[in-house]
Amino acid sequence: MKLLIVDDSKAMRMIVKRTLKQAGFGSHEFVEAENGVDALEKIESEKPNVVLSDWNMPELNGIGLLKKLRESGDKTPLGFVTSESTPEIHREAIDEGASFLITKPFTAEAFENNLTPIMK
Amino acid sequence: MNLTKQACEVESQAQRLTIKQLCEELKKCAEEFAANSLCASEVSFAELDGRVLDNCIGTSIQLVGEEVSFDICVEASDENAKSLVAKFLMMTVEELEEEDFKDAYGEVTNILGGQVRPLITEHHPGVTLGFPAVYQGVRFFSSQQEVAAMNATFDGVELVIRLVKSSKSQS
Repeated sequence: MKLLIVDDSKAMRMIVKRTLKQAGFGSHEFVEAENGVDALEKIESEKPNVVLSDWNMPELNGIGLLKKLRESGDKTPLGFVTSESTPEIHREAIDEGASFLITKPFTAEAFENNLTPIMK
Repeated sequence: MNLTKQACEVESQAQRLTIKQLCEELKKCAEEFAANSLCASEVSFAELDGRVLDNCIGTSIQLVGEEVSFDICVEASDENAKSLVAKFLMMTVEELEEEDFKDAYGEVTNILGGQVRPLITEHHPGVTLGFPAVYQGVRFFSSQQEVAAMNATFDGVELVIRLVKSSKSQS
């Protein structure tokens, strides 16, 4: 399977990838994007099975990416990996159709618990 | 409930959040960050000792609202800042590239800012999280801003964590 990691921080993309490997998803293919606009292009060209997106990003943020994706009829599962942890953000994410929301600082278990049902 | 009473209650709720309480929350968040992201086993906090940091590098993030804003700053000597980021990225200091260092160092305050935001928004609804910045030297604040600061040590890496509250009425 293919996972798209979307974050404007290259360091954070590196950390997410490392944590995914620790969580047992190391055999999957990883693709990266640095903001929502870049992610939309990668979703079109790479056809990932799952998208893991940051919330706060320049150009197009995470929730904007999710809305655009769903507006276009794309049902690719998208989960947020973000430092935003208010109940309002959680509610907005779920209302817009996010599969999950993992808050930073995260653990490998958080990825395992949230991704395993989707990756089956 | 009439609007004046509601406004008074919102105001009194906001007043109940002191910088000391917020600093305690920030300490808990920093502990969680150290455990989850650095796998640090020895974490301690102390009152600010006022030592001058050699070649200080800082990272800050702002939480901005209409009436109030907060800055979270992490400052460390060049050596300690690089050790912190190396642990965060699971690399050696020698493997760190300058751009990755700045990027990851900024993520430290981004994470701390995101962690304390729920408590802040309980008292100051509408406060939003900005983007992190990295700077050389120590940041100075005006005497009208409320500042709480502490020394933190994560597995031997020494940092200064500052929390600064600015009210619009002060500016």
